[in-house]
Amino acid sequence: MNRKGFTLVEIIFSIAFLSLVSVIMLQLLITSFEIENKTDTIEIANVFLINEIERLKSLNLDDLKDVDLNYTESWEPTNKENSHFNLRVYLVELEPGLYKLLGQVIEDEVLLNITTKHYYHDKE
Amino acid sequence: MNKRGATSVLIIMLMVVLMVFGLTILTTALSNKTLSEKKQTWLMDYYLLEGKAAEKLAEIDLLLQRLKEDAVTNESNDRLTTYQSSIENLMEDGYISFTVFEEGQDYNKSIRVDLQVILNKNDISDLEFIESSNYEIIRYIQEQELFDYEDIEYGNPFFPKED
Repeated sequence: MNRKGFTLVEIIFSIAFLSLVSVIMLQLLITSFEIENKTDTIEIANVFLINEIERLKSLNLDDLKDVDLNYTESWEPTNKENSHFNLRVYLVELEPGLYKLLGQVIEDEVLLNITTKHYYHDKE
Repeated sequence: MNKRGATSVLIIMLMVVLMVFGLTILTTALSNKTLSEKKQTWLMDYYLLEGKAAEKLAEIDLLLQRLKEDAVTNESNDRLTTYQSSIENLMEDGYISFTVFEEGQDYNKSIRVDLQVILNKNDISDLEFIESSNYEIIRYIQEQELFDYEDIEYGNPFFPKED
């Protein structure tokens, strides 16, 4: 059998196989990055929403009002036109002084939903 | 030594390393996502539990307000004595305490609240007495069931079993 060129064939085959595996590897990497980005977004949204809810809980009854904030993709405050994330907290009065706080962060869909109640008694 | 096939072996080894690397990265990302979801569930359960505590506070405040109003309209004793005697059965060691429970997915959570009733002196008007604060929150503690190491085959690693 003529064995000239056998090593060249071997190398060509190896490169082809490596390219195939690289494509699969890159796809795994892309999926991992997408999952990490989504997780990061949710974590940051969590921090912003909880901060807003806790801020509302620290206010007096007279200063209470619904919250509607807009943020860019990098979580900088912005107006509604350039908004990527929308943070809302609605207040529903259940009894005198007892309010239900409904917090949401919306991207294209609802990312986060936190519901709680707070009793605003005298702050004197 | 015959070096035929050496390239293939090297390439196969490289492929294995790349695949392991890729799978590790994916596994790490999925673990982070799971942890984030668990944290989110815990937070939602905690805020629902806080809501229950807020409802209980509203209930107690309303009750104390009614007792104050009754104490003012009572003509037999001075209002402070009447008010104190009416809240005695609510108090434990000088505080009004309550605990709210929530059954979470994994470990049951609870919030314990201790309130100190504010007792105003008799030298203020009836209106000031009724409109003044009824209580002050002294303690507000969130508790959760401890992780049960007994379920693990080797027990608690921090407190080894003595045989």
